Order: sequence, then structure tokens, then C-alpha cells
Amino acid sequence: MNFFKLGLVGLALFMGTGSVASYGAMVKVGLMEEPKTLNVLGAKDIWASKVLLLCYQRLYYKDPSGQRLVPWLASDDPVWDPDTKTITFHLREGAWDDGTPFTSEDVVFTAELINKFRIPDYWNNWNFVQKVEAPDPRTIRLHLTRPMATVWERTLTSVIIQKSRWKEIAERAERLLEDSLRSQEAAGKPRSEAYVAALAKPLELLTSYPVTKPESMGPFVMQQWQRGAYIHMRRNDKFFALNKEIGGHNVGPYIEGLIFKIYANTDTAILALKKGDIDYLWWGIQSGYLEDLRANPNIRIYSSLKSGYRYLGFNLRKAPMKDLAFRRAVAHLVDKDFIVQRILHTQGCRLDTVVPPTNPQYCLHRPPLYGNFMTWKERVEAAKKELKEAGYTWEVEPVAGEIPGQFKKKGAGLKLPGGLPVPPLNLLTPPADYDAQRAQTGNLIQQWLRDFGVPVNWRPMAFSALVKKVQAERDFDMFVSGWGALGHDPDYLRSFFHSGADVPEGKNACGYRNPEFDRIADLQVETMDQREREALVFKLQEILMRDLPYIPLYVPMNLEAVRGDRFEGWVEMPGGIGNLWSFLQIRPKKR
Amino acid sequence: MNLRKFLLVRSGQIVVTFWIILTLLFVLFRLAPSDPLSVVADSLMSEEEIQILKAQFGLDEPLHRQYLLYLWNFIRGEFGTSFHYRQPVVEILGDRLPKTALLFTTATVLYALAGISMGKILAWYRGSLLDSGMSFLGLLTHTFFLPWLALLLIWVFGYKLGWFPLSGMISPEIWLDPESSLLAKFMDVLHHMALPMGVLFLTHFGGYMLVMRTTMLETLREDYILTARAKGLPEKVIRNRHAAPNASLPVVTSLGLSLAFSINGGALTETIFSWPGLGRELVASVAHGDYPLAQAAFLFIAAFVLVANLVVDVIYAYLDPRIRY
Amino acid sequence: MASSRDRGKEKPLGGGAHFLRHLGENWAIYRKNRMGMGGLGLLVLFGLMALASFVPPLLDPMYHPMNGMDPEIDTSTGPSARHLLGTDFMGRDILSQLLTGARVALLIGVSAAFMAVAIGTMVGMVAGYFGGIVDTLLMRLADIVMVLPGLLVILILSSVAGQLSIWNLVLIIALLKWAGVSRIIRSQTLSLKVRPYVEAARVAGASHTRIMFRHMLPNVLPLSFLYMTFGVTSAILIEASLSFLGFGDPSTVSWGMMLQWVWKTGHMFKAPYWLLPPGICISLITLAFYLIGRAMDEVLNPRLRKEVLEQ
Repeated sequence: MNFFKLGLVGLALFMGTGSVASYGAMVKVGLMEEPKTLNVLGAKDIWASKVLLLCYQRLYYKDPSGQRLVPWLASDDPVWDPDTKTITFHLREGAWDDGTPFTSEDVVFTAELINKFRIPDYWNNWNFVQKVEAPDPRTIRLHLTRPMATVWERTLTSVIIQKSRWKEIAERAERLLEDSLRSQEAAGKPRSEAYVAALAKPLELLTSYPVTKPESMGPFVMQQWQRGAYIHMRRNDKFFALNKEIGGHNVGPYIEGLIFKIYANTDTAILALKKGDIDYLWWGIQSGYLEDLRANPNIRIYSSLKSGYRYLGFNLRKAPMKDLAFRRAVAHLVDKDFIVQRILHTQGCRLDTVVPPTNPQYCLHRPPLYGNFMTWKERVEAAKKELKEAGYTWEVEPVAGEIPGQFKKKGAGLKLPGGLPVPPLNLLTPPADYDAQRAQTGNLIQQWLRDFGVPVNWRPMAFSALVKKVQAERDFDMFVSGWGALGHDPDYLRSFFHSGADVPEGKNACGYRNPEFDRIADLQVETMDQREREALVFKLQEILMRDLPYIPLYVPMNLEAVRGDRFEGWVEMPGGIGNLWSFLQIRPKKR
Repeated sequence: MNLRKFLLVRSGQIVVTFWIILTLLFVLFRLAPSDPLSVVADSLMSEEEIQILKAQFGLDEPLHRQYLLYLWNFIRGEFGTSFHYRQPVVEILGDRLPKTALLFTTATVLYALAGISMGKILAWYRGSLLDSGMSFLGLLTHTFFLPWLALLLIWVFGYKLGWFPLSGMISPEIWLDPESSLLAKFMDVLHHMALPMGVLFLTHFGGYMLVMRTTMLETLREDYILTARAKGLPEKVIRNRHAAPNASLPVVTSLGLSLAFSINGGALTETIFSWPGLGRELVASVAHGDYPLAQAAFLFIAAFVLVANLVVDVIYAYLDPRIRY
Repeated sequence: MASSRDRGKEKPLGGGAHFLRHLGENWAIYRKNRMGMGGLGLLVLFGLMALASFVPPLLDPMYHPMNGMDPEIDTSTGPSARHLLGTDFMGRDILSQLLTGARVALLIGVSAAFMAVAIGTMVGMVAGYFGGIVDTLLMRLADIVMVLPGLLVILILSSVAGQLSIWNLVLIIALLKWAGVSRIIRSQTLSLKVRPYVEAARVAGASHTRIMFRHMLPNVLPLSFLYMTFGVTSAILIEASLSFLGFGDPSTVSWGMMLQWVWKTGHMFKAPYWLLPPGICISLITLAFYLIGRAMDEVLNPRLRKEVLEQ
């Protein structure tokens, strides 16, 4: 028992501690998970990308509107020559954080490393760059194998790494590759297969090389990483745009540095924000916390539309989903305004095309609409009409009620044209605790369809299981999922809907196959002229919204909470205030 | 000495058991139709890049070669690279192991000793208010659902009263400040340890207390106790030097048997408090589909369980001279 | 003068036949045990809750624990006339979730425990009866299974197999929990093996199966039954822990799931009406089975002990 008394006394001594040391103008940012690695070649998680954003810089970067690219490490706009299929541009003067000058050699090294080792996530953006020429230390000329429109948004916004830092590792990887290649070819494999197999070891070396102090040409440089607890970054005095004007904006940074603190769950992080242990939580907060936080005078809430969206996907390989009339009927029934109102509590907006509105350049302005400006009754009637005209029948025909979602008479036993009943269908969504909105949307759609007479069941399942069923196994009927942060370049439409992507592991989970779409999609990716390309991308969306392999549902809002009493000058961009421009421009608030 | 032979035999058993567990894990992970890539390769990757990843993680070789490679790697201590962290698994686990050891061992020692002491005292004061009160309390806390109790404690002591931190092991403020002393850092860890230990303590001490009480009551009825009393020995001596050691034996056994239960509790506690230990890493790696890490974490824990069982057996054999295998 | 046949019919140790014959007596003894009655009372309460779980959706579809959508409420609200325990973050009724949780808990608990005990009894009998290498192998296997922390094993399994449905889970729990029972049954079988009536049956040429099932099984059943009560809690706790961690079946509503929802949706500090009930229920059902188990132990053991002395 003596133990206890001692222990209790000891514990009593520790209560109420937690004094905060003063940091000067240091921004404390909360993260929900620790970056897995700070190796820019291997980092795949979003937390690493947040930290690395402040170190690794790109040739071109989007401006605060999110629509335009401004020269960043480059000093002028890129020039495309269709005859030679080259892109030429010049580089800024600058130095890495260790003092080494930044030259075209760094760019050449980065590109060659990516192409030789086919580094995942990067190779896609560089594999059509045949050669990178550096006529002088400030000029770069890219030679493309063929015109690729994605070069603007994807290649030129690639990060550049420091040659002198990575040279040794690259050479080791190169030797590994040669050895592996020799043994693979000795085993009798043909060249291309041998090369792919031989890449395994060198890639592992490159991507899992432990990097705790990444090099930086950015506004901040890594100071200390205390595993599991925090990351400390200080201002980089060698930042190439320090206190200058860039892209038409004045940048600093005007803060001494940042401390990233890692919190295990949202409750802890929000509490820390309320107490002032952090200034900014770099993660969206659920609407449940809004009321509480809004009541706090020191906290400001920023909301921005995400640059992704949520959709209902159909498996076009099975009946009745493969029937356009069925999909159109479902499109009439799904009341997107109701979803935005009730499930999102207006924190979001409806979406009627497959490119989100945060991308106004490529987002189709007048997509075909289904059921808009109709009352609930009219929607149900329109849906019924679609099906009846296609030859569907019911055992019990549904009759709509007054309130949206209600039925005076619930339908049952929908039958395919030909008389066979529609088999029981499943509607997969992520679980409610992963994303309540997607789960509830799926639930709601299921109810509407069921009362309409379609035998469908809502099946929430763990996200990775969902991905497996949908992408790998193609074992589903309908699902509600989403795309997170889509880049500005709309070539993802080709990845999602081209018939060539309808392979195991490919992104065309729905199984959409349309030769007309394929043709235009292949054409747009090679169209270097922006205006021409826009027209083609609009056409693609028109086709998709006519054929409805997806029914786009809504664009969720990103809610972020910041303390308003310490720093000001946060820059709102699509995706939130956690962006490079914010950290370049925020200043300590004058008291 | 018999003890040595006993140790040898048991160690041999542990090796065999461990090998069986290893093999079962291998079979499980290789033969099941799983898809580790779908979690790593979820960005806009091309099919070629996915093929490269597949080769990189060695998912292409024939099965029997994989098995031998697997065993060989294990013996070498080569557990592969974590899909999620892109770091060698040994490094990650090496970092987590001491943290689990700190929390788990301290808690276990505390509640075992507390439970045994309390049980001893309760048996002595049988029938009193203390006895009924504490027995009831012990039973009550023993049946609390651990995660729920943890959430309650966090709510009351962490959020409402603000006495303890809500989660984690250290406070960056104290550890970042170059002027804070080693003592301050040490106190900080203890401060964070308080609630998780509280949870583990409350949910486990009741069991030990009740078992000790029962066995103590039975022991006190034995003949040699009556003899000791007749001899005129003071009560305290009888209780502590004669009855208690013998009564502890079944408790030690139950310590071994309930090890699985307390490890489960440890993993749950670590997850809820985000204590950066093995248990939490196992849960997280399963959630991420990080097979190399999940497998290795599980093996570490299994090894710990087997060794702990051995230790318990040795303690038991040491305490009870009648048992010599 | 008792013939050898008569002697064979004498009360065997822990007698199953004996137990059944004296059911009335046993019940009277059990009734006197206050703790046992308390436990039984709680169990009956949960049984009623489980049955009652079918009622709310019939009253109004908005009370459905999983799919319910209240047209006016779509966030977490406190207890009210409409929702006696309030609503969860999606506006679903907490009371009907709680009742469904009782149903799920009892279903899982009883099924898993039943299967575990069935497997364990079989294994224990076979090991004890045949002895030799069969015994050694089976008991080695039991040792390994017993030592492993069940929750973590299931976690590893679910990482490979993906989503575990409720019935998969029940099966896996059974496959992990049979070991403890099998040891006890094995000891019982060992002592039963040398009973005169068993010898007699063997001499008379009865097959192994017949001896095991007709003569031994009835006598080990009371022990099996006792262990079943311990196993139920175990299964319920494992399911609750798994659901809490997020590895449960998302299409079922269980108490563990409810706790996971209240935790993960950030309502832990704001909604005691949501946080408290599921936890209290899990604790109470654990308590109930513990009390019942203890009481049954006391009922059976004096019998067991008495039989030994009489023989």
C-alpha cells in the first residue's frame, strides 16, 4: 500500500503542467500523423508531402488563384516548338541550403534519375521526355518523344532534387541496376522484362533511403525531427525569393520557422488548438466541431471547396447497370440538392460533371442535367418513364409521395426488359467512421432505389476492402466513392474512362468502353494548344455525362480551423489555407 | 540441477512453437488472395509502375523459394522494408519496443503487486466492510470494458479537469526546449504515462486481488498455519512469511494464463492513448495493409509472450520446491 | 449383490446423468446463490433487450439502427421524447442501436462459445481417450493456440483476409478459444477412461466412437457447459474490441461499433448519452456471465468433489 501513496503523491505533483516555452514568431502546425519518411522519391503519404512542400521546389508553381502557373525555379515562361518537339526555358539564380549553387545540372540529374529508374509517381510525368539538354547552366531544353499536353501541369511542376546530395546514392543504385540486369538477362529473360525485374533492388535503395534532413531550396529548412512528436523547421536564409516579389506577389517568409506537432486524433488536436498549443491544424475538421470552435473568439474557420469530388459508380459489365436507361433513371432519382442540404449541411456543392468546379478552365459550363428544377414527384415520374420506355416492368409500381424521398406506394420487384427480375444489387461505400458523408449518401440512395423497386443493399466496408473489390476484383454493382485532390490537368479523365484502363488494377473500374471517347481522349493529351485542348476536354465531359458511367454527386468542403490571434495573412486557395503561399506570406499579428 | 534441464526443455519448446507460428504466418500471408498493392499504389500510377512495385516487394517468386527466403531472412534478422514507412522494419520495431516495455512492464508490476498485497489483506480482514467494499470494487473494475474506461478517464481527467494530457508519450514543448532538464523530460513522460497506466491498473488489479484473496483463504485453513499460530507466532509473521508465499503460487500461474488478455489490453490502451508502442504499431500496420510490419510486429509480440510464459514457469518452479520438471 | 453390469451404471465422476437427474436439486442450490441469481437476472434483461430490438423499426422506419433517417434530425442530439437516448452523428436512434447491440452480442457470444466448446470437447476427448502421440500433438497445438493473444491474431487474419463478416469472426473466435476447454476435458476423459464401465464396454467390443459418445460425452458435458459461460464473455469482448478498433463488420451495429463511432466522430467529449450506454452494457453483460459462471462453478464443484470421495 505504501507504493500507492507515494505514487499518488507523485502524480499529484505532475498535474497541471504543460507550460509553453516562447518561440518568437514560430508557427505551430498540427498534423494528424507523422510523415512516414522525408525521402521525396519514396514518400507517398500526405503528411510527408506537407512537410516536403516547404523544402523541395518546382520549376513552375501555381499562383494563389490556383489557375495559372508562374515561373518558380524557372525564370520565364516555357516555349514549345512543335517542329523540334522541344520545350525551352531558363532558370533562376539560386542556391541550395548548403550553399551549393542551383544549376541546370540539378534539373538534368533529376529527370535522368526518374527516367532511368522509373521512379513510381514521377515516371508517369517524365517518360515521354526523351532527353534533357542543358546548353548552359541557366537554360534547359526538354526533348519530347511526342506532344504531351500533360507536360505543362505535370512535368514542369515536378520537384527538382539536388544533384550533389543524391549523386552518390544514384551511383550505388546504378551499380545495383547493372548487376541485377546482368543476372536477369543471364536467366534468359527478354530485355524489357529483365529491366523491369532488375529495377526492384535499386528502386528500394532509392526510395527507402533514410532522409532525415532533406535539402531545401524553399523558404524553410529542416532543423530537427523528433520521431513521434514533432518536426522543427527554420527559415531558410538562402531561399531564392527571400523578401522579394515572385509571380506578382511579395513573399517573405516573415516567420522564424515552423513546428509541426503530431496529434493522435482530432479531439486532441482540436483541444490543443483551443488551448493555443498549436496555431493551425493542417487537416479538415468534421462539421461536428464547428459550433464549438465558432464560439471561440480566437479561432477562425476557413472553408474551401476540395479539388476532388464524390460520385456514384456503376459496374457497366452487369445488368441492369449496363443499360443506359437504368443509369438515366437513377440519375433522375438522385436528388443532389437534398444530399447537399441534409447530409453535407450545405458544406459543399452539387456537381454535374466529372471535372470539379475548382478547375474552372476545364470544368464543363453547361453539362446535361437530370431532374433539375423538378419536384420529387416529377423526378420519380421521369425515372419511371425512362425505364418503361426501355421495357422495364414492376411487380408493384412505385408512386411518389409529397416529401422528397417519400413514396405513397413503395415499388417492388423491378423486372428487366424480357421479364427476368433484377437481381439483388449491392451498393458499396466506405464505413461511416471513415467518411460519414459518403456512407450516408450511399444509404440514402439505397433507400430511394429500394422504395423505387430496385432490390439494392447498402454495404459499408473498410476502405481498402472497397478498393480491392472495386479496382482489383471488379466485384460490385454500384459504389459511392471519390477522388481526393485532382490536379489541374484533366488527363485523369483518360485514366478513368479510357477502355485501355479497363484492366485489372486499372482505374477504369466501371468498365466504360467507348471508341469515340478513346479517340478524343488520346487526341487531347497530345494537343499542346490550350484552347483546342479545352474544347476537346469539354467534348469528353459531354460524352461522359450523356453515357453516365459515373453519376457525379457533390464536391465536399474543406473546413479548417486557425487561431486568429497570432498570425494573419493566410492565403485561401482551392484545397485550403495550408499551402506554400500562406507560409510565405503570413506575419505575426501586431498586438 | 533440475532447473537447468527444465529451462533447456522449455526453451526448446519455445523454439519449436515459434517456428510453427512463423510457418503459419507465412502460409497465411502468401496463400491468401490479398492485394497489398492496392493500398500503396493508390495515386495516379501507371500499370508499369505497379509491376515495378510488385517486383520490388518480391511478390513474384515461386512459393517454396519464398518460404526458404522468409525463414533465412528471419534468422538473419532481416524483416524487410515497411510498405508504409519505407524504412527497415527492424528500425521501426526497435524504436517501438522500449516504449511498450516501459508502459506494459511498469503497469504489470504495479497491478500484480498491488493486487496480491490487497488480496492478502482482504483475506485477513475477511467479512469486514473493507473486504466487501474492495471485493466489489475489484469485481466492478475488472468487468469494465477497457476502451470504454479509457475514453471515460480521458474525458474526465484529461478534458474536463485538464490534469493529464489526452494522448501521446511526450510534450514537444518540453523536449524541444534546449534548456529543459533531464528530470523535466522524465517527469513529462510520467505525466503522459499516468492515464494509460491508470486504465491498465484498474482493469487488471481486481483479478489478481480476488484470486489472491481466495487462495489466501484456503491457505489460511491449512494445518501448518494452525501450528504456527499455536506456536505463538505474531499474526503478521504468519500472514506474510507463511501463508502469503504459498498463496501466491496460483496467482503466478494465473499471471501466465492471463498474459494473452493483458497483451490485448496493452494493444488497446496504446491505440487509444496513441502511445508509440508495438501494440499500436501492429494495429496501425494492419489498418494500412503494411504486411511486412504487421507480420514482424506480431512475431515480436508472440516471442515476448512465449518468453514471458517461460519466465512465469521459472518463477513458479522457483517458488514451489515441489515442482521440478 | 451388485453385478458387474450394475456397477457399470454407478454414478461416474461429475456425472452428466447424475446432473440431469438432480437438476431440480441443482437449481435449488443455484437459486440460493445471490450472485448467480443476480447474474441470471441481468442475462434475462439482456435477452429481453435483444428481443425488443425488433420493435423500433416496426414502429417507424426512422428508428432503424443502421439505416434510420429522421427527417428532422441529422446530427447528434440528446435524449428527447422522440429518441429516448438521443441520436448519433447521422441522426440514428441510439436506443434502438443499443437494443440491436444486445442481440448481436448474445448471438456472437453464444455461437462462438458454443462452437469453441464443441471443438474443445471433441479434441479433449480424443486426446484423452487415444493418448500417445495423438494426445501429445493435440495438446501441443492447444498450448500454442492458448498462448497467443486472440485479438492480435484476429487482427493479423483480418489484414490478410480483408473485411471479416460477423460469421467469419464467430468461426475464428471459436478456433482460438477451444484450447482451454480441451485441456480440462482431456483431464476429465483421462480419469473417465479407467472407469469400470468403460472397461466393460471395451471388452464387450464397443467401437471407440461409441464409447466416447455414449459413455464419456454425457459425463463431460456439465464441464463443457460451465466453460461455455466463460467463453461467451470472451467472444463478446473480442468482437467489441475489434469493432472499436475499426475492424468489425461495418454493416452490423454492435456496442463496440457504437463506441467506435462516438470516438471517431469526435463526440467523445460532447455526448455522454451516446458514450455511456454501450460501455455500461458491455460491462454489465461481462459481469452477468461472470456471476453465472461463478455460481455454476460452486454448484458443480461440490458435487465433483463429493463424488471423488464417495468412489
